[in-house]
Amino acid sequence: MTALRDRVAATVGGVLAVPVDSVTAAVSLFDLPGFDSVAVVTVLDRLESDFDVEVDPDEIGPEVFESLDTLTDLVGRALAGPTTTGGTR
Amino acid sequence: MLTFVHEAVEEAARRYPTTVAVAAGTGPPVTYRELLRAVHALAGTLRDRVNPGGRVAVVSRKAPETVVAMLATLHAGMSYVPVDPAAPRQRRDFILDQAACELMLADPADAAADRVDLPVLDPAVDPRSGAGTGAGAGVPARLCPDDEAYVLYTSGSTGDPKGVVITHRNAAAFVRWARRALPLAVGDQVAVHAPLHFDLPVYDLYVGLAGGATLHLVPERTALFPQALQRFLTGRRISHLYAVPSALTALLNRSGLRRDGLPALRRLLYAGEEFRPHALAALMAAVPQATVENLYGPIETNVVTRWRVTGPPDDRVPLGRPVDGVTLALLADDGTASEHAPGEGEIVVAGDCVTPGYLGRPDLTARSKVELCTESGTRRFYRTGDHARRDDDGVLHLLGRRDGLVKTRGYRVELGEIEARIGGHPAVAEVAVVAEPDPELTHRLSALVVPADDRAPDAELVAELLRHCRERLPGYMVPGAVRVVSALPRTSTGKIARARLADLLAVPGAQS
Repeated sequence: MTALRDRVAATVGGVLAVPVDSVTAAVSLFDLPGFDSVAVVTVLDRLESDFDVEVDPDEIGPEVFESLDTLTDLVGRALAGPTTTGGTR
Repeated sequence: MLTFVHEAVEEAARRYPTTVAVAAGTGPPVTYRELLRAVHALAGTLRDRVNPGGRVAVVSRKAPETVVAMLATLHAGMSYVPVDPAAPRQRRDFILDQAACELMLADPADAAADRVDLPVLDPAVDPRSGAGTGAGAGVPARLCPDDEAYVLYTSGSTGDPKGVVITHRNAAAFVRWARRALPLAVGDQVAVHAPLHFDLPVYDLYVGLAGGATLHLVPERTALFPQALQRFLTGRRISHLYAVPSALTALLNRSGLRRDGLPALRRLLYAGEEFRPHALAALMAAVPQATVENLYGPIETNVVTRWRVTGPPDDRVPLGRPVDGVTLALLADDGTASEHAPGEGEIVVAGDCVTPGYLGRPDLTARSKVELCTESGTRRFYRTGDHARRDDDGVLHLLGRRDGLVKTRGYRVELGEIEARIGGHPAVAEVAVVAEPDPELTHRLSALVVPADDRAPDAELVAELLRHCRERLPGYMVPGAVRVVSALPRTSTGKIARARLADLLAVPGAQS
């Protein structure tokens, strides 16, 4: 889980062009500089391609971006869930 | 006889005391009776703390307290200056200082009030406290139509934002027209989607509350997520929505809107930028029962034209015709201006809706206005910088904007303001900001930077410049990409060749 969390943090940091440290240290992802509607969409696109998963649109809301942990959980669920597309594309 | 916008709201509040006036994302809804009491209580406190006619900064969170704060300021005979809660501290402090605000209304724990050089007063008043019910409460300040009501800050080309002064006459002119043409009434569920430091919510607040409608403040975070926004609009049975095309396009493309529609929606208004015909047609197909209107007007005038979109558009949507009380002319290249003749020219506007000018910037104010002789006589017009064509039937069509002013995410942005900020960084020798058309954002902003020394372009400089921008500019003005280049293209006269900048962006190389 920690490894997954670090990879998610790296993706978020890459999109926002901020150090990974500040992503892991942020209480809420909404507090990160540059975190706006475009960043939300870009982060999701990047996570989907980095992890080769599809996130259920109904799961995407402010709650999952509340913290790095909630976002990591989302990716974890997508990896485990039936929407995983690994190998089928 | 002019009806002040806040007095119309107070009249409705006395008529519909038990109706819900404002509901936020969470927390109990506020009835009109509670709203009125809170406004009067806060106005009483403001009178003790702020000079008559003084300015009050209002942190524009999507909370009922923000609505109370704005109304209380007007009731007390003062002017409010909405402050974006997400604004970088430098920008916030510039605005508070330039507007000479005497007090800030905010939750003292709000990060937007952090280290502010002003007294901070919490606008939250317990409606059961009895405050605001004493003798003298509820007597509004005596106002003149030309007194200032509020100041909205917008992007300025020279590097600093500029404050557009809106008087009571200006605000009342827009609200008078909108209440007649696009009324809101008891039972209407109005989504307040746009940020409260923007001019779109002026309609929601002053037309909605004057009619007894219920306002639903869309939380900032909900507005970031199309799926969450769709759930909010559906759950609240929203009947009236006024938003910018970028937000509506994201809602269309990234939520279940095409499948589910919005069954309760009756009227959809948009403004702020052009709506791409394909996207608008798809949106109209998803909400076939709703009427759709294109409203146009810069912050300096609020709405000056209106067009009812009656069928799915296959071409650019017209601006429509001037609204009541607005004198609109087209200023041709030869210096002549006409209110009626078919032709092309810059849109210029006169009438009660036009701002007296920019706060503390007589130079900008003078440049923005021009005295013209039209069919109805000679008067001063505000120059919008937008070019349009008028057909034989009087319908106006937008042709384009003057150089340097672009729209992104519904906001207008002066590229020069961003260039001035980036150019202020010691590691930057030259900079040009490019706006490229984008189907969802209208324009996507990118910065091309020539570093001050010869060191290799690197990701560190890009990250540093993005950080630099985020500390100084609102999010919608921060470039989405910074590209380090060795030189900018020049014209034969040595000026930056703007037309060739986009080609440079297409070249693979160092990027954000």
